[in-house]
Amino acid sequence: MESLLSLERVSFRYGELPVLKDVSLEVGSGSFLGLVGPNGSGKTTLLRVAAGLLKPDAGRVQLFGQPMAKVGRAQMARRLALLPQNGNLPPAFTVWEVVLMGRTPFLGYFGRENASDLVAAERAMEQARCRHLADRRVGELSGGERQRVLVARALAQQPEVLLLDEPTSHMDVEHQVATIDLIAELVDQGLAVLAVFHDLNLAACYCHRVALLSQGRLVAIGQPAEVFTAENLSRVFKVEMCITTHPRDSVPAVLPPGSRWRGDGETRGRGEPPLPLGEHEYASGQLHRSEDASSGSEPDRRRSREGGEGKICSAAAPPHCRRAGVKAEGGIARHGSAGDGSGR
Amino acid sequence: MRGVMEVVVARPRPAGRSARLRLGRYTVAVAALLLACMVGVMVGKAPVDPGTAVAILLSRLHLLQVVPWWPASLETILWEIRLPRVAMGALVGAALSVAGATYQGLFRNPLADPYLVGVAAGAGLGATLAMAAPLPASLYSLGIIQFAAFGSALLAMALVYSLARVGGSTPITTLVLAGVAVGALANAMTSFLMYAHGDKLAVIYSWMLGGFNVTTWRQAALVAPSVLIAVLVISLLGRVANVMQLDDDQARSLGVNVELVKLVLVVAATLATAASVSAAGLIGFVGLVVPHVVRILWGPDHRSLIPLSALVGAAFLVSADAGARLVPGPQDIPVGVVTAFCGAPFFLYLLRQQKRSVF
Amino acid sequence: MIVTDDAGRQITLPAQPRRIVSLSASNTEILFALGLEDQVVGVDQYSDFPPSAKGKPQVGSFAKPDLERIVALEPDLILATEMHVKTTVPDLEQRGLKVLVVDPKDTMGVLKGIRLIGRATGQQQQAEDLAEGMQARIASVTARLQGTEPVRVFFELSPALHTAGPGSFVDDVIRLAAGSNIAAGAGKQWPQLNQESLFMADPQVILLADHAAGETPEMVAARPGWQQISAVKNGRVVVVDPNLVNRPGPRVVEGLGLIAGILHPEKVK
Repeated sequence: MESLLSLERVSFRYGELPVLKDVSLEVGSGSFLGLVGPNGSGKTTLLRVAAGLLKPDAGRVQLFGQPMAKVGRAQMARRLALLPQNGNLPPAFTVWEVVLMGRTPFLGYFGRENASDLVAAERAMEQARCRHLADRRVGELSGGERQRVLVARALAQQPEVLLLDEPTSHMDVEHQVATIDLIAELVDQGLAVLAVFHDLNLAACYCHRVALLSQGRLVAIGQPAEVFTAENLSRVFKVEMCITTHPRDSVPAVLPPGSRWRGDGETRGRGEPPLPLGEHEYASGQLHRSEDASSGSEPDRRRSREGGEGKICSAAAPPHCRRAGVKAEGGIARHGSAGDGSGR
Repeated sequence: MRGVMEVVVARPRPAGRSARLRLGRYTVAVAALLLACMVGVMVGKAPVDPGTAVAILLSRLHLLQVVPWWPASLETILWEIRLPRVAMGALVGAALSVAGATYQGLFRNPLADPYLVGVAAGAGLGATLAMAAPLPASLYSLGIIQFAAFGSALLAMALVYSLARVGGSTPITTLVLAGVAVGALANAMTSFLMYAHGDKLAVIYSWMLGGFNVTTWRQAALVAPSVLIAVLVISLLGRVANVMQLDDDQARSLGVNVELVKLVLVVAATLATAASVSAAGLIGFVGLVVPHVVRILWGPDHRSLIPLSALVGAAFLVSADAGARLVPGPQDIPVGVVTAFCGAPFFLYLLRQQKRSVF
Repeated sequence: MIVTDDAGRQITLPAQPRRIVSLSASNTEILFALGLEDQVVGVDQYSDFPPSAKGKPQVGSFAKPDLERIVALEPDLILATEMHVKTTVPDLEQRGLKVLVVDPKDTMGVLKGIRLIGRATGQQQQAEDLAEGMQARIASVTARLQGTEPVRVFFELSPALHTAGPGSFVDDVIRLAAGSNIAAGAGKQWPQLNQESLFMADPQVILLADHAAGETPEMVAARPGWQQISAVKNGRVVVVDPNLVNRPGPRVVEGLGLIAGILHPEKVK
């Protein structure tokens, strides 16, 4: 895997406040790296350093094998695209005009868009599912629609490296899945993606690797199953999440600790263990009711969770996962499969 | 990834704003300017009929050889007084409108006007200094007041820019704050000069009020290069100016050298404004309103916004100046009064028609 | 003693004010001309004539008198103008100070003002002498100009062609000097004359009151198209000290003499 973007021991501080401490990671062609962590852990800052918007105080950033500082601005923009978290969009411009701005790196200061630019922009809008919004003003769109426009613009740049800061924020589930599916497909075709995720499950389902950031440090990096352990997550997020396995694929699914309402309609008291809501059988055999763990002390419950046997909790996980490429371990699921757990 | 590209041939491109509207708008703007200029040449305290006016102009340009049936004084009035007035009105109107549009875009603030970064205050200070200082008469006949105003306006902008630098960049918020601060300082110094030189109060006030009453061809020729260059440069950067409407981070990640573009745009807009103020004093309202009118009518794309603002602004100011001359009696009323009177209600009307965001 | 001032107000005054503050240069000149130099304890910033007036304590600018300084001087009489009536005068009177508004609108008004100040300060005799003397000189000028064809005059206050319009003091002086102010048709006292109107009016004499802005007769002659104007053609562009003709004070007779001499050199020396 050819490394396209690499950060080596990068540190950064805003004035006196250290935000990133000694972070190293790299993303290669056709690889999808997810960046997760609580708010304030430095994810956005890391992304901005990776995009060349911030200069690290220590360590180095390399893009396509060259130090970031040596890569010219326009040159960089032709190969690396950034989708920011709260991108300001001037409300009176149309979607088409905004997406076309993605072709700026190829146009120079005085150039005009030519046919291939128009084609690239249009195709990007189709991929991002906002083609039908082309003539609408950006100021009139909903949050999710604006997000799709930003995605389209990033795609119009036709980058080799794509940096995304919470690409699915404001989107409803349909578009979340569609967008991430699209990204994953592009990764299959060779795109290198580093994306900040708020939703751990999306990261788990789609990323080859995830990096867990806490207070500016990289706590863990590796495959989702390696990184999303109860120990890591409870330490970083300070909450006991319920970690189980996705019913259809063998990737971790991270769920809230439990439901507050008992099945009989009464509120569960503090410290009371959650009750199973019903019987569910999964062909993958990964999830099953466990009666022993319904009582007992905290350590018991934790142990049983770690063993992959957990409570049946009320939460939503992505319908199926898709991790492309033979590089991923742990099984590959197909679209729409019944989740028999078998590889391709 | 770049190799995989399906060429979508059959589907029509997004229409954007209709092409027919696109061509029409330049025609309308140019026609408005031509009409305004014609009105400007016809209207004045000295009555002249259109035929004679055209004949005078053509014969002056050596395009027509006739025995003049008009008095020499009329020809002087038309050629030396009225026509420079029209020309300067067009130049200043274009300059202020383009500068206003540029600042509104750069600062992403619809309330920005050309005087935001302390340019007007700087010009006022320079002019006041030139009037207060005991300079030899030869300098005054060369137009030292105008040069001093122009120079100190540019100095003020340079000061504002250097004050606003934070690290390697110039955030627009600090630019605005520095502009306000420098403007306040310049105004204070001007007030002090006026206090210390009470005998010159009348002439200083008269300069500040501005207007086109004593415009000469020479003044217009001095102002024209700055204005035309600035309008040209900003127009050429229209597409980049669009991208600058996104925030700095987005523009940078699209490959734009944000600081350089910002500097060029600010310098160009300031050049145009400084030239205008040094020649015509402080004429308000044009730089604020005309860009909005153009945006409401024809959209926010800077590639068209800038040239159209120049044309519409020129037409507007020439018309306003003509309107100022329609007032009965031998006096001139300040053109700024006319621009405010005409422009404000029209702008309000347009805003009410337009429910959607125009910025 | 009760007097009615130029603003129509009735003021009660002590017999002989000992400490007088003047808020305008013209009234300062009148006070000094009446021999009240020692009683003047405060003047405005622009009071520069006679030269000894400049040495008096200043109480701020003509437009913005400094209330504290005035009060600190403990005056028993303050001379103000129309401009101060709305703001400064009520402030001063609230503090129990006596204010007299003297603001002549024309030459005859100056004489009236001198007599009023004379009454208010107990210098009736001096005031009468001064006024009579001025009246005589004015009469002598107007007598010499009897029947003379008025000369068209443009009084230039600024390079942008601001001028003195109808109702202004300067306009009155020009009229007395047998001049015809080409701005007489303007609607206000201090209009800006349209350049075309100036050309059409074709003044025979141009009085430059804006030397402060660096204007000279040579520069006026160099203005594009101005060679056609009679005043320029005949070399009758003259610099005048604006303070001689726009201050409604004792020197107005000098101003009148000066203007008359410029407009009609053959009649008035």
